[in-house]
Amino acid sequence: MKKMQNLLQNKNLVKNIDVEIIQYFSSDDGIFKISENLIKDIPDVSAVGKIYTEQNIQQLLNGKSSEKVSKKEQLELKNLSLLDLVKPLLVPEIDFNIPSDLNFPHPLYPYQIQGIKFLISNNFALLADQMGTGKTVMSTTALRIMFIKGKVKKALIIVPLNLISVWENHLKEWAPELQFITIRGESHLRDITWKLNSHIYLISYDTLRGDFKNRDHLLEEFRKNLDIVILDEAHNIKNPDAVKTKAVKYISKFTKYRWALSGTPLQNNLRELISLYEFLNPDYQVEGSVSQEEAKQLIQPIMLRRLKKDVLKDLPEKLPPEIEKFQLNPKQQKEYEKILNTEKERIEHLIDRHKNAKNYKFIIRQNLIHSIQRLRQVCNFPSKSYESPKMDRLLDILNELLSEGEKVIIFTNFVKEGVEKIAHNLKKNFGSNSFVTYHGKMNHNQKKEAVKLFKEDPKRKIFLGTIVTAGEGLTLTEASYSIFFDLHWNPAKIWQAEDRIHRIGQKNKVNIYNYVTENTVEEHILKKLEEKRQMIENVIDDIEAQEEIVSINDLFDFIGLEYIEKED
Amino acid sequence: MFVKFQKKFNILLKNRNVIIKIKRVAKMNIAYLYYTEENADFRGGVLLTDEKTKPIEFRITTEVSLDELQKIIYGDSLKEVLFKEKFGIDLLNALKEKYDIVLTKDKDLLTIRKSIDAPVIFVRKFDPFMAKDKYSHKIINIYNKFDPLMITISKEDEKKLISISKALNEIYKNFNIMEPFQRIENAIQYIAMNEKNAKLTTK
Repeated sequence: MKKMQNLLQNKNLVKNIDVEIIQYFSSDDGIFKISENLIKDIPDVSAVGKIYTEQNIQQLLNGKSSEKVSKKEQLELKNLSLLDLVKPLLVPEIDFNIPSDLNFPHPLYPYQIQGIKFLISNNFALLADQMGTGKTVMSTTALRIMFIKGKVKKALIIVPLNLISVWENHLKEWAPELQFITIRGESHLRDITWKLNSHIYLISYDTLRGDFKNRDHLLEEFRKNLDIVILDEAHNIKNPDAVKTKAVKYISKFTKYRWALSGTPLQNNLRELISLYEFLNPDYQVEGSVSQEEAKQLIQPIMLRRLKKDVLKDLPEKLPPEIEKFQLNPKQQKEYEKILNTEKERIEHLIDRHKNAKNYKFIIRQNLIHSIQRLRQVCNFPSKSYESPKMDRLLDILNELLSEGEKVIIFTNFVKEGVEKIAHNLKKNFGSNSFVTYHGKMNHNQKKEAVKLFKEDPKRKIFLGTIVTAGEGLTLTEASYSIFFDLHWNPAKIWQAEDRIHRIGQKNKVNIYNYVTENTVEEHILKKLEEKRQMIENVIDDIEAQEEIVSINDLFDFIGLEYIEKED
Repeated sequence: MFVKFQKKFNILLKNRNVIIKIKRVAKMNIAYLYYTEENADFRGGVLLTDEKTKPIEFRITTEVSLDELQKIIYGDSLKEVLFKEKFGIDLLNALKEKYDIVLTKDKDLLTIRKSIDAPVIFVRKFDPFMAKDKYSHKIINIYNKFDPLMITISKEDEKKLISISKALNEIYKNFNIMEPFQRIENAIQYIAMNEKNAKLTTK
């Protein structure tokens, strides 16, 4: 009894209402910044904005350190806490009537605003605008609005592998409040990324297919609270029996919103169209056969399609080039590494041999350019093959554009590993009358004839040329799409070529696509291009200065060697 | 002359959907004070925004769960202790960034003005049958985009009513000053839901 009395006396029944304060954001630079966590009792708080490397993730998950991790494997993964995830909910709603600089990095065109409104007002939607009209910008902005409205809290974007970098850049630029994770890399890393917190998850069709086959338990958990799935190049799920299609339909089983982006949804056969519709509207059951007309009637209400010519007046004089990134296929990878090692050894040997020579810098520079050329050629095609990821994508794009009656210019820097191999594929896929070639090995009359054919023959839809040769006073206003199959080692030449394209196609407002292979000399060149863009702008018309824009130091850097100064 | 002007004016009206030019609004940081109550669980939040309602800082309290006995013992003073002292004053004092005015949807919170250095404004939808007083003023959106509002200030700021009202009217031309309350509510709900899920998972 006495004990009980003590207890009652000691226990204050009027508990103090103790409220602790948590700081979420501060604004040192006017944009959100996640502050230090001041309280420990909200789950995941210790993970605020922390960058994990593979090594410490393994430590966290297994309680032990993993084996020595290679630099390549040190993939940075950002695990978002609750504090990061709530950020979009605190942003004001986007009002298109308010000057766009408040909300967007660049002004949106009226047809793009219409596209965004179409997406956000449809639980399932097919944005089928023609290539080059900005479907990625529209869907990124629409997705951003959905997050701000609180309608979406977890999103998955499925894209072809080469468009991952395009999406990453768009998300950074057009949806700054949203955090994304790209699911790729080695399988043990993907095991982790599927479980990390994020607003948006970006994945390629191929990775999704692989994980559907081998990691369905991860996908099953992941899809439970997934709100939206966006498919870019949605014709990837045209075959209902393909594993890729099944994977997409599996992961989006519980999602409320489904958006598909495709420039060519209706050119395909009926079965393909139905497959896409079944993704968009999973409640729809195909009973018996469906006629072409019925299929069109199904898809029309949920589809928005505008052609480039319809929105031409809205487009700016210069459209910035779009960069598509590729990975070397196994054959290319093997050959690339072999050449890289041989060339590095050769250059080192040359340095030893000529370090005291008067023209040391000239010799080394010329040899470095030779090495870079060899590596760049492999980025296009393996030496004994006509197939490569770049070529696959090119054929895909051409299929789309040619079916719409568009003319296309393809530029490469190489005759054998460029023009000839591309021409081989074009012939095989579209027939020998579908294109013309134009390069330095042709005489004046042949070149003249090629241009005439491209301009006058409606069947000749593709102009395939080398940039150096094709640059000489050529006017190709028939085409409004231009694809650079490879990048010149000298950024000034790329810049100049882009400028020329804009000039020659002024009437049509040309879309430019640059193909770049990841983790190769091409990516180094691209990086240099960005670094030196300002400088290039200043000297663009000064041909003499162009060679000097890329220093010998840069050339060494391209192939991963350090510059060794000449010994005095 | 007048006909010409009228025509131009009509065209302008027709094109109202065309981007509205924003007049430069004086810089002003607004602290939105809000609390939620679900069953006996309470939580407060303060969202600091600039004059375009872009967020600058956000703080919330942890969830406060009261049992029946506490409610009985605190009685009427519960609101005083919890909403004013803790959720109100403590949250505002915790802000790192400076605020110029405090907006609240709870009239009782006007009394926290005595404890802080900035005007506190009670804001709600305008009702034509509302009694008029010298501490209140109507705020309207000239484009009819948002509903008219009524603001009320505490008697300490009686002389500032017109200038505050002018500033808020200017902001209200383009930005809905009521909408950030909804953002706090959404954020609190989201956090509460995640906390509950996390608790369930750890169990």
